[in-house]
Amino acid sequence: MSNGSSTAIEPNVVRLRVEPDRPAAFRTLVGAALDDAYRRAAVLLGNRSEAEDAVHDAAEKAWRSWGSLRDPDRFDAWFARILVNTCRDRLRARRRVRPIVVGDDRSATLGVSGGIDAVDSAQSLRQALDVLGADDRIAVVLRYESDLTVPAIAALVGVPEGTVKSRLHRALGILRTVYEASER
Amino acid sequence: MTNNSAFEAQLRRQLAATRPTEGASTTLAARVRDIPERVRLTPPAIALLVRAAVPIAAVGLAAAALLIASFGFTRAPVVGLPPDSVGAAVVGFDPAIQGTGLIDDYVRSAALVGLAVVLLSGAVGVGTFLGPRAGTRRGRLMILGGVLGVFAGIGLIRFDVGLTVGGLRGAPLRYVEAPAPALGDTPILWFSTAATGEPTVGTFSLRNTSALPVRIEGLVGYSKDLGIRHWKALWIPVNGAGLDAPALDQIRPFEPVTLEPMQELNVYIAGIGSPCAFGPAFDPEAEYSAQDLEGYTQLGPGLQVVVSVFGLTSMETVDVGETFAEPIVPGCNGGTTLGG
Repeated sequence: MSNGSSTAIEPNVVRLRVEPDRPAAFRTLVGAALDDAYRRAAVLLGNRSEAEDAVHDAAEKAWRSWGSLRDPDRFDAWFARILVNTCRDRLRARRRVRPIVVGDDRSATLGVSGGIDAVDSAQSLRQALDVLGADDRIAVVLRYESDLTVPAIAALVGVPEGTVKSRLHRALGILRTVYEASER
Repeated sequence: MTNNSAFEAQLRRQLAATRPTEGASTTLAARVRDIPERVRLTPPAIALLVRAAVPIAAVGLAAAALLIASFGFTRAPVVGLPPDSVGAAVVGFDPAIQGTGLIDDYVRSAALVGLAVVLLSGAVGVGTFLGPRAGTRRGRLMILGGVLGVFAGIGLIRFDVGLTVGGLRGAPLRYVEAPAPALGDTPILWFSTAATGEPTVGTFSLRNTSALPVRIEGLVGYSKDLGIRHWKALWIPVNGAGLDAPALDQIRPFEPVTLEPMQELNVYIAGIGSPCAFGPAFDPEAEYSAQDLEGYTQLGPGLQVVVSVFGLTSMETVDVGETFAEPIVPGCNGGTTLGG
């Protein structure tokens, strides 16, 4: 209803196809997962500076394949899988290129504080973990550090549960042998 | 010796000790925040194209390999049948019919298929190593196993071709046999007595001693090295494969024949006296001086037979156990082969 002095204006209903703000969504989701991703990468790789690079690489891969993420609720699992794969590639590359360590930076590398015994024990463990293949090492870390179940590891890594079990069995055998030999 | 639970507990403690207490650094957070600005997303269509490139290439190469295996055989008769004999049911040796069963050149399709397999494997390998499942041990083993399997199959087919001469040897038209001791350990020697332009016929049988059916495609009748044509035509018995040695009026122009394992095929090779042929006056037991006889043009005992197994073509050199020789008059430059 309008009075005489006013003009009736039909509002223009403009329907815009609003593109989701991809960069903002990416920054929000990755930002929330960044700390956990960094810690997990640090344990998987045993090296903090390399962990930062791995997380950055994983985030870049995630951005490149952002279109394949259908459900944002599944972002954490999706990104964790990318991160684990990125770490696995780095572990494999590391086995091909053996770095020459100058000086003793064990505690700096592992971030272990404590007395001589603690450092020696960590050193033994690092030696033992270094012997493992990339897949075996990932299985061990996800099982005994992240406390994931075998089915959860299988889903994350993308292999059958039986494969995870056999990797864990093999890895523990190797770890025990190397660890006990170094403790003698 | 540590027990299992104690060892696992120790492992947990040690791994926990390696876990940083602090979170990601501000530098890392800034680098990650900056990614959408730095990294441009690939348009979906291009990404799909890139992803599909390897399978498309693999399918294309597989199709090429199949086509080469099926049609890679090039058969080029030396002269070809005379127009009036094409399609006619010719029975009985006719020297006017030339070119049947003779192959100038051919494509070694087995080698080409091998090359295609290598390319295909390379494409699949590159795709696998660059793909999302890059470098998995299972993937590598699958590729390696697949490639080895294909090569083993081709190698088995290629090397299993066992073609030997059967029980039939002879020279039914215008040949005389060399006397002993030429018959000793040396191959049987036949001297052509055909005058220039006269036909000659020799015969032998081919036996398939492999476990696979072998298709006899023909005889290589042209020597690239010497630039000469050895023979004029290939003939087979009217009834095809068999152990009989029919007379020359019971043979017909050659057509490719598939021999089952241990099956035998009689083959007749026809030549024509060359312009330099010594002719019917030649006596194998006579002593000739250099003024009377220039020498001999010999063919055999190895003859090149083109065969195919499951579409893979190759050439087999078969020792037919006999040598065909044409005595040559001195001082002749008009051609020195049985084929003329």
